[in-house]
Amino acid sequence: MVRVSTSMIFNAGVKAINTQTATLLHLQQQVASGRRILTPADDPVAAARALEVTQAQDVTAQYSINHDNAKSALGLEEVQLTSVNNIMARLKELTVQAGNSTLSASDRRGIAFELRARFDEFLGIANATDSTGQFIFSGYMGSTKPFGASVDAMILNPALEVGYQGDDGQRRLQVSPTRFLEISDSGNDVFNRIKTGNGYFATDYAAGNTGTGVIDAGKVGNPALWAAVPAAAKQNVEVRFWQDSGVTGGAVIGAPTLTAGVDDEFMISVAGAPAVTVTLPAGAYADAAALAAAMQTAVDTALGVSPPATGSAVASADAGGHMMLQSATGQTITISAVTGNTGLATLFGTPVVGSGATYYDLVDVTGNVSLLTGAVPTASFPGPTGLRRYFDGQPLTFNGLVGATADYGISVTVTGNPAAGDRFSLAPSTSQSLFRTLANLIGALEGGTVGPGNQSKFANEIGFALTNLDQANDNILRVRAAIGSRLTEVDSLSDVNQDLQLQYQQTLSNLQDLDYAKAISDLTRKQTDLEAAQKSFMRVSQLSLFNYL
Amino acid sequence: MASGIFNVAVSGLNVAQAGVLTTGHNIANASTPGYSRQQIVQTTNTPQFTGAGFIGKGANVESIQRVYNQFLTSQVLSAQSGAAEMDSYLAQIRQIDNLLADPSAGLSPAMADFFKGVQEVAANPASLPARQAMLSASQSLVARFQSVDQRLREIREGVNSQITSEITLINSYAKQIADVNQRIIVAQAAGPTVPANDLLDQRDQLIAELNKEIRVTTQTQNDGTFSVFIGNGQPLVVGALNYSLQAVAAPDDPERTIVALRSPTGTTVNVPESLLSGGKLGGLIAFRAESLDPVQNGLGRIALTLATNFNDQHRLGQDLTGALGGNYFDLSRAGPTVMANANNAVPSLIPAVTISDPGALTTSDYRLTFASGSYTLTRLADNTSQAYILGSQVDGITITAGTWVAPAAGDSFLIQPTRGGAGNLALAIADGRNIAAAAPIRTATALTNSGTGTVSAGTVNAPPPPNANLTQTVTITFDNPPGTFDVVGTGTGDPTNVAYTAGGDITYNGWTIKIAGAPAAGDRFTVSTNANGVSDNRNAQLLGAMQTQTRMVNGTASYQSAYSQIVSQTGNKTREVEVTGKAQQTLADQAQNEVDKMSGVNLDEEAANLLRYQQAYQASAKLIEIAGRLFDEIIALNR
Repeated sequence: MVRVSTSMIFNAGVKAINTQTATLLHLQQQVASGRRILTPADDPVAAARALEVTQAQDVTAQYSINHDNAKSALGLEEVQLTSVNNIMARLKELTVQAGNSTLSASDRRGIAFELRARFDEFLGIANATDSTGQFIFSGYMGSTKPFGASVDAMILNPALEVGYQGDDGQRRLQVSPTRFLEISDSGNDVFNRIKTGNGYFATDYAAGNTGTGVIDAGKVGNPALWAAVPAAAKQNVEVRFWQDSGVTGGAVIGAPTLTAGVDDEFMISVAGAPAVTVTLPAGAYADAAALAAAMQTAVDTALGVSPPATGSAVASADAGGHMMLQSATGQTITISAVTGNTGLATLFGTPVVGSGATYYDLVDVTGNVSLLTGAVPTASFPGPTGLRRYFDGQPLTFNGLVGATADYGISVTVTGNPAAGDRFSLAPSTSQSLFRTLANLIGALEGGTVGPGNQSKFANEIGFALTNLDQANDNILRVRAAIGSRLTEVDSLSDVNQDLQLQYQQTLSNLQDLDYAKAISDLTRKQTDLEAAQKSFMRVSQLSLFNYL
Repeated sequence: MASGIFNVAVSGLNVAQAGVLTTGHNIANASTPGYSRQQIVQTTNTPQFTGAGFIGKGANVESIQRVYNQFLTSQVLSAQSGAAEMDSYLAQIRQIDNLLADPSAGLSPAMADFFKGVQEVAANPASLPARQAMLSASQSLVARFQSVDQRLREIREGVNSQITSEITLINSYAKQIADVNQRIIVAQAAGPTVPANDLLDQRDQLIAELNKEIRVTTQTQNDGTFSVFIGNGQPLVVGALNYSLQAVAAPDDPERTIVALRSPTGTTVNVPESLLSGGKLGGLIAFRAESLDPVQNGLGRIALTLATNFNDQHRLGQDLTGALGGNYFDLSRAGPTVMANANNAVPSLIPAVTISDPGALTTSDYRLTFASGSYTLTRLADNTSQAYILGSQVDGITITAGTWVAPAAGDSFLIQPTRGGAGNLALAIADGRNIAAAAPIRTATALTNSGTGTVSAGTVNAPPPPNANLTQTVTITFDNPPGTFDVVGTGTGDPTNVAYTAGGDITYNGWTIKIAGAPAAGDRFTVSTNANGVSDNRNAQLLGAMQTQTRMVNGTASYQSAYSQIVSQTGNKTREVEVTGKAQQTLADQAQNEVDKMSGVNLDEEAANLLRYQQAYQASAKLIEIAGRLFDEIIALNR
């Protein structure tokens, strides 16, 4: 028999009701807050996991903010650079227009005027600021105005570059756990670090050129070969022109003694002009060089002009002891004997008259050696041996050379008629700012173009300007391409981020959020349970034998 | 003959009266806690022998017994003590659980806001408002660390004061038990066959109440008294003598109240905490050691590690004014605390403790002792000891002699590396411009370079302090051929012909850069001070990246996961205590039910007994009436 004490009935009833009420309260709190986990004790693992997922969610949200920041910074830069490219198109148009030889000096000044305005416009863009007043193109130094330049100062001093106060820094933002995205480009990278010429080497003309030769930017047919050329050997290379238009002695002159009336005279005619008689002082000469010096004086006296004016001639002797006479400006020279005088044979042996063709030499100036002959280059003699014939517009290729490097892998093209002694130089590309290129162009336009020499120099300048503007344009496009790919990257990262956010949201929801259907059904059930406990307790507690006494 | 009948009737009346009284006593005490129902033990009187056999002489009450089972009662005691322990543990740990539960009040949102502030500065390094926002977020992180720590301190003080009041209660129970023991000796002077039922119940109830405060064991003495012991045999009551417990401050930690036992003669001994199990007091002590200490230390560990790591990185940066970054957090008061045991030879001398590797810190406290010429370091969390050599690093801390230059045998110190970390954290800078968002160096590629070499932005080498020549200008020029380069600049020793590896690290003056690509002969790269680098955010990026790096617990946990470990540990412990408490309570309830089944008063039963004794009384009274009538018959015969 089970004995039950009265207190047990009360205790059990109260306990049951307490338990049910506590459960009901917990359910009610869950339903009211919508949270499954009210305190970590409800589900310690999920509570801790929820904290970590929340952090991951926060971090992802931060990346999203950074994406927006990056997009706005990159977009701003892209807008500025797009306008640079647009202006650049106009600049090329103007430059081509300026190259037209029919333009008058005042037309060119008009173009130069517009170019000055563009110069200032570029300066404005390069000094652009973002919404917070930070300079876009100053690297890390956001509060420092990066560019300062004046066209006039730059024209006056060709060595002066644009002043850049910024640095090479690239600002970055963290856009994913491992990716720090660049959101700026330094002014150096955008406007200053622009390779001159064709990117490998730059061409230039010598200031003393007198012909009409115009050199292009040149081509690198084989970059590997160009790269393999020792730095010293390509530091300063020149194309030198020589015209085979003089007279060369056929025999070696030792230490001659000239006798007046016997062998001291000869006739000379420059460019088909009437022949004049050249008379050298009689007497003994130490060597061919001494004779050449005397011959120069005599020729000048005979022609009545001073070199290097048109119609003059240059006398010289080469190391081998041959005499040479050449027109200073490339005209054909003929000589003939004075009747009764044997001077021609004494002075020149059997003279050889030049063909009038133009030749060129390729010279390593630093090493002072001809790349074609391997010998020390002379001013223009000893004639075409080993040199190459020049044809207008034909590429001058740097192959088949005699030095340590047989092939430079490059070629340049000269058009027009270079005069003897004209020189064009090649040097490895360096950096030149967009502003320097513009200043050069404006200087050329404003400098006037009188005379055939100046006209060709101007044509050269226009060519260089076009080449360098192309380089600048390419550089801006390169930066814009980088910006574009960064924007694409941010976009795709944003998509990933949105998916992640959703994923984290879902994970968090699974961890924390209440299953309402289940909770409400539980609540109802517990309510019923509690009512049952209350009612049954009332019934049982009312039973007492004392009621019947 | 008639007198015999009267005697029988009176004995019946007496027995019935005793029955009614006892039943009445039961009914009156139906809801008295600890009351055991009583019943009379009724026997027949010795019969009178006659020739016809034995004639009964009525009944008498031999004794009044309580219905009681010692075995069942001791089961209740054991279960109750466990349930009370879990109950008090739960009440305490729930405070921490609730503290951590609130999504807006926990550490987590403050930490998230803090790193968000750092990221804002990284996005807008030159913006003063962004810098101010980061400072504000840092302030609120510090405030959150302090307020959570403050709350934990309050809980600790609460535990201390509850231990004190528990001890008062225990002492009062012990005294009452000793009193009741004394009264039982007097009451049961006639011998144990006449039990002092109500006194015994009262004593049992007192022991049950005492047992809810702390687990006790009892032993019955020959004179009927109980001896009460705590722990593994420390006496609390012996006969009528009672010992008393005392709340005293721990000798090496004034903030820690511990229990001491004071004998009637006045000697006091500290009771080791491991012996004080069960009951509310046991729950409080277990809570303090198992949950409160690790949580507070864990919080301090996060604060210390975060602040130290942040400071280290911050000092490698450059602020908006161009100066090198200083400390971002002020840790001057948040370092390890060292407390000398009051019994040390010279208690004012203490060793110095520094945190040498914040990533290796544990949440434990340590005790350093010196005996027979050698040092022993004990990690208190798992009670493991190891021989220690001053100056070596254990669990991220390094102990040096400090002022404790002449150790005496028996000296001991309590070391709390992380206890004060959260509460004493402060911010070291107040001006947003002093946030070191930039790196102090920048690299540049000469415009005249003709090669394709590119130089990285450069990083400053950890750890601080930064190299003295960090911001000196250094130029790297490539030789001809460009397989090697020369370095020129203060502090580098100007090495020449350094071999070039594309993409390899180049390290001088405390920085590291990488040059990649194919530089040409004569190409120059420079590293120089980052003057005016207000838009540089490299250091802020590195600071922000710390949010997800695993820099705690030997590189296995981020700050957030270290915090979620605390949350998970507390949640798990709460749950464990809750479930264990429920199980203990169920056990206690069942045991109590068994006791109630046997000893509890059933009013229906008592009602029936009342009727039974009433009827017996009526019958005995009737017997007297009949006996009287019989006597009248005899008198009437004489008329």
